[in-house]
Amino acid sequence: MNDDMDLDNWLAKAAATPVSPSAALTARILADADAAQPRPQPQAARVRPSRGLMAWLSDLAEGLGGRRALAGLSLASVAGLFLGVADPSALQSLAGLIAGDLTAVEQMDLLPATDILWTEN
Amino acid sequence: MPRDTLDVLSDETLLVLYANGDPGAARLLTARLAPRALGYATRLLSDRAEAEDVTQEAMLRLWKIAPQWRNGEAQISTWLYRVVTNLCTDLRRARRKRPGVALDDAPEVAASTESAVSSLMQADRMTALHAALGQLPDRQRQAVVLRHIEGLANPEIAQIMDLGVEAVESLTARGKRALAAILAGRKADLGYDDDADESEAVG
Repeated sequence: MNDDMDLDNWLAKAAATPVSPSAALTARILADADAAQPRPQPQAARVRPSRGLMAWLSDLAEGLGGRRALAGLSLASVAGLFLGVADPSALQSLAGLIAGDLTAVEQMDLLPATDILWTEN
Repeated sequence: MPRDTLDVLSDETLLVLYANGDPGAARLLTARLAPRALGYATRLLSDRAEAEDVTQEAMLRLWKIAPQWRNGEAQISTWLYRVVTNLCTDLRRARRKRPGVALDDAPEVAASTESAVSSLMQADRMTALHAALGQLPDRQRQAVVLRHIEGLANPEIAQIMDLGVEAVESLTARGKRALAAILAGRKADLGYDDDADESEAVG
């Protein structure tokens, strides 16, 4: 009998004989894996820093629809103020025109009382 | 990710998936790697319970290193074999320091090995092989097991044992010679004389 050949046969048999982990060992390994597995961190609650007046105004502008909307709103406010200060008779003439009183057209002055805005006293 | 999809992925990819929170990756990695780690540790330690502890510890180290694993530096199996080698070496050193605990080269172990081999009248040759492996010096045993039982190539063994390839070849050759010498004296115990008789009768 050749000793080298015997040993090679034995080693080959050992190599072909797997050592299987028991169910208990597998469970222990998987429990370790579960405990050690990185988890996605929950997002920290957003904390608002203290804000100044400009930031507050900026938020307000955003709430109203942005800078363009704020500009439109300002223009409308100024126009409203102007109409409030000026004589509303023109608006009455305009209303008459819309209602069908065409005679009013001849006399309509769209800005009859604007003189008060630029007349020097 | 579906199991079928995971099956075809490399160990390295599975480890990345594990680090990213994939629940199935750890199960597949365990199925692939734990038997190899356990088989190797069992052959180095000749103690199933200790080999299981070593396997669990080695796998735990793998889970922990997963987020920092850099692809391309080493194969995961090579890394794992290296961890198992080091853990087994530490364990065997601790055994030697413990008073009253059997040592490879202590008389009581020799007696134990002898009685184990003597009990192999029923041709339990694998047990005899493991007992003989237990009598080899640590490095020879590691080299022989990695080369001839785990089936690794010498360059990979060199990486695992942190040696040159020539040193691995030398360790393997010396280990095999020592194993052959140990087992040669026990052929009769292992039933080889009976095999020879049967062969002659058949012939």
